[in-house]
Amino acid sequence: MPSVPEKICRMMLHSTVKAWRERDGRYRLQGVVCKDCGKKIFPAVQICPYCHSKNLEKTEFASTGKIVLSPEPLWYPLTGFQELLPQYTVMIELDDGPFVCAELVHYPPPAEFKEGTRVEMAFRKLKREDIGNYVYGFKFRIVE
Amino acid sequence: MAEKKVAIVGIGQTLHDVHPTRSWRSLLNEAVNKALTDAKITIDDVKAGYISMGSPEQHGQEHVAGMASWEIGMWPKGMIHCEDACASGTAALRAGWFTVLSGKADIVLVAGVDKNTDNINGWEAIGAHTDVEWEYTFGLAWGPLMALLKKLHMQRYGSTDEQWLMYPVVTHEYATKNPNCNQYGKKPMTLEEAKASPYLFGPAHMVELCPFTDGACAVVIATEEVARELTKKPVFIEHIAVGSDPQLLGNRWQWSDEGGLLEWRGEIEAANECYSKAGIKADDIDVVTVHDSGTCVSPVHLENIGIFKRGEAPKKIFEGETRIGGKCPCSTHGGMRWLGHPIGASGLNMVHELTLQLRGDAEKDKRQVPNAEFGMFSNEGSNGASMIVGILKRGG
Repeated sequence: MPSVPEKICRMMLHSTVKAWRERDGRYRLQGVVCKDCGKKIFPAVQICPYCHSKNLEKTEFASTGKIVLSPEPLWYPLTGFQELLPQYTVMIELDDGPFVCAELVHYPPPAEFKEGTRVEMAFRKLKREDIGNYVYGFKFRIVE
Repeated sequence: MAEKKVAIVGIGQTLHDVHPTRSWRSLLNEAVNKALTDAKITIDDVKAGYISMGSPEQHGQEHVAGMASWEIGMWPKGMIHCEDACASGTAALRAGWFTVLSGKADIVLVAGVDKNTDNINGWEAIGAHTDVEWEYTFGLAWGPLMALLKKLHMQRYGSTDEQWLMYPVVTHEYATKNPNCNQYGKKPMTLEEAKASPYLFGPAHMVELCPFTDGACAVVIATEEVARELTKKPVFIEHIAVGSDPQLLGNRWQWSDEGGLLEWRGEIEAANECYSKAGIKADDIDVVTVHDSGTCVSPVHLENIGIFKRGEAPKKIFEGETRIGGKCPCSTHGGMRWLGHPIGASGLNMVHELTLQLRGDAEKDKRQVPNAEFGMFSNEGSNGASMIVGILKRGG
């Protein structure tokens, strides 16, 4: 009898397409602009939450912006996100309008950074899924 | 035509603690049996049932309604499962309230339960209440909201860390007087002890966050006619409203020109709807329970529902306005922070406490708000993407 590794029973294993289909937003900050009221929305929606128009156009938003609010560094992350500690989660205003709450990656971590600090998008591994595949997306780094 | 009235006629709650030897079925049965006993009815009198479980992924059992009906003896009558993250309990109550209002049933059971400690990775499982594609996948869950919100309030209104830490101090004192809380009989925590608590998501301290807990709570509601027959102390549901805000913090910040993290439109509008339907104002509320799984969000709830003016809640709490004898005692059962936060039961725990207070039955535990007539709850689901707000009134 060939030796077969014993399988581990798992109730939920996400398919790879689940992450793949979100690539436009996660890799390129693609959202939508409402052609009726002009609001810029990220991530993309199918109906404008402001004027309820369906007249939306896909748009790639600026990959640069500034920090508008930053709390203390976070030492207790979710399981699977512990590789780079501490986590700096900040609110960022992109240069062309939308706001994004995202992780700041800048190693070694800066001793101090202030609100108003310029940042740019960084393409990073987000996590490894339960079936083993890696999921990628945006984080931000400080522009020197 | 005047709207019919619906009353709470029975309540039941388990001890909230870590229950390694007990399943969700066991906890549910205890709470339901206590509520039925309190209402002086049997399960055969119940015409419809709703169950709230906010985090079934903790033990892997989906489709709890189908299992619960059999377990509590409602079979062959069925139940319906309501899931609205941390607001699941009050979502189920709202469904039950509508069912009685519609005339389809005169007695309805609403029961909530969760078994958070069955999952050793529970923190991750409740991350499923966030936007999984755009928050959880990025490693963001509850920490950023709590930390950003508290910091923004401190920056904008000059509230201090010490003021914020008074909320868990006040509610701990209540918790020591609640026999269904595992803090019962313990020495109340001091402000100095709270200040020594380390940051979990700075500036949010560890002491400001709830533990993982197992527990269940059940409520029986009925038409006014039935309620008058069953009890001398009915508690009427004046109104329950539901509101919503964008789940993603960036979206919330954007729509409001920075105010959205503090001024929750869904909660404000739901509260205003409740005041309008009940014909009262915020100043008429005698006792309140607001969402306090993270007490670093609770002062903002108290501001959103109008109990305190914008920017003043932390200061007012520090001055004792949420203690008994203050302007509006808050979370007199200890809140989710100290009672614990078995997700599906938590909303009903708020209703359980308000019912005790409005009946005058909290007297025996020495945490009674004197002569309370109106009670209000504000139950938050996820980052406020679901907000369920309601007003209860003492019957007589």
